[in-house]
Amino acid sequence: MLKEEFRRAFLSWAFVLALVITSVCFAVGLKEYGPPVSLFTRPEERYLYPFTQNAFDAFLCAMGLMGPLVFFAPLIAALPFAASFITDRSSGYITFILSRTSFRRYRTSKYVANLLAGGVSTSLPLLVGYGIINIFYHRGFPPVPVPGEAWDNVRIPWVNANGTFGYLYRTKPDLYIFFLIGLAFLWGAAWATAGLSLSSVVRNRYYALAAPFVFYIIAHFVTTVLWIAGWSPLFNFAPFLYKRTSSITTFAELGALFIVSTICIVVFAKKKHVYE
Amino acid sequence: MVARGSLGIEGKFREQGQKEAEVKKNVMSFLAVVLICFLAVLVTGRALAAGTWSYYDVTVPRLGGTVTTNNLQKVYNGQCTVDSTSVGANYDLWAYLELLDNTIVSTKQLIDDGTSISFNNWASAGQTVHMTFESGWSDPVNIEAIGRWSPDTP
Repeated sequence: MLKEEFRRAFLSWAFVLALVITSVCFAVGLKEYGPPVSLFTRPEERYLYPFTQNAFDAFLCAMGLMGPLVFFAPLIAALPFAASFITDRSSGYITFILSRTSFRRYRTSKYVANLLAGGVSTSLPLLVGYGIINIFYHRGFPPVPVPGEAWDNVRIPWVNANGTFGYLYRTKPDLYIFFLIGLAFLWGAAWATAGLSLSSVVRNRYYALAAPFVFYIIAHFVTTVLWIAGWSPLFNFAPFLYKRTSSITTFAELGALFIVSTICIVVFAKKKHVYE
Repeated sequence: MVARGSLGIEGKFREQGQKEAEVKKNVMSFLAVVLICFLAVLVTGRALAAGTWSYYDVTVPRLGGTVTTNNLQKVYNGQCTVDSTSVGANYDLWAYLELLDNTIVSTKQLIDDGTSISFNNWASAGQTVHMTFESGWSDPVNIEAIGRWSPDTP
């Protein structure tokens, strides 16, 4: 059953579309950051600034500082499989599958497959993108100036990045970026779970796909207007976008979304409710 | 008589010597003043020619909005500078140099509270430029930025 649900989640056009959207958003951010060699430094001066354009800053810009990925993350995560309770019902697949297995096994398999599909769709293109960036961009940082002096030709003049685990940015940049990719996976999994929980309640698949995204955007605006932007889900998806994010805001919010969504699936995704 | 006469000649020589010394002293003083003035003009001129600071206090519109500073003429080919005093509400802003026709002539640099940064650009000496500040796509509030900038490196 689990294998079948995995096959349906990962070998689908919706999953491919999710990967394509993530990749395009990442590429838009990377294009905005610019090529490996700065276009605005004169060729004879380029040897003076080898790390003006570097792999680590390129990744941060592609992921969120300059790209639209942070906006569409919940939509991308929900796209592959979150509306599958609804599609299974409308296609009649659920009648077929429940004649062969129990509803509990069906629901658990779907929960796991959806969670992984959501996480992979938001994180795999980032991992591949970081690999590609590392091939073409220099791996290193421009020096930190002595106190009282200006940063010299540095795109992102940070000693520490903003927010959660930002102190790793300069000392262990690869670890920091893998943390961001891992966080994108967890958020993708959580948003996909939220979408699945909604698909056990609503009857329209587009509502199930769009609702996590709408909630995400509204929560972002509301938290920033209320001056608690550190709790914005958008800023906790990419914590380097805002100074007031911390491991508490990031993991508390992520955990809360995950637990509430899972409870909703357990409570609302009953055989009677989904089947009829 | 002889003694008195010799004394008179000596007195005249002494008087002449004193006058010459006085003239020499005046000439030296004059030269010193001229030298000091020359150096002062040189130092001040260089400082002025190196570029001047222009202060800004702007509010950048939300969601990727931009705002520009006043226009200044570039004195040298070379780096421009932003010395940010503060960027409001815990956000960061992008800063970049533009020509009068809004052609972007530098990379975008992130600025924050207390960021002082010099960066390369394609603007040439004599061209009129301005600094542009841009908020992030995901920043849903207007952001105030205070500081100073220069088209050169003062």
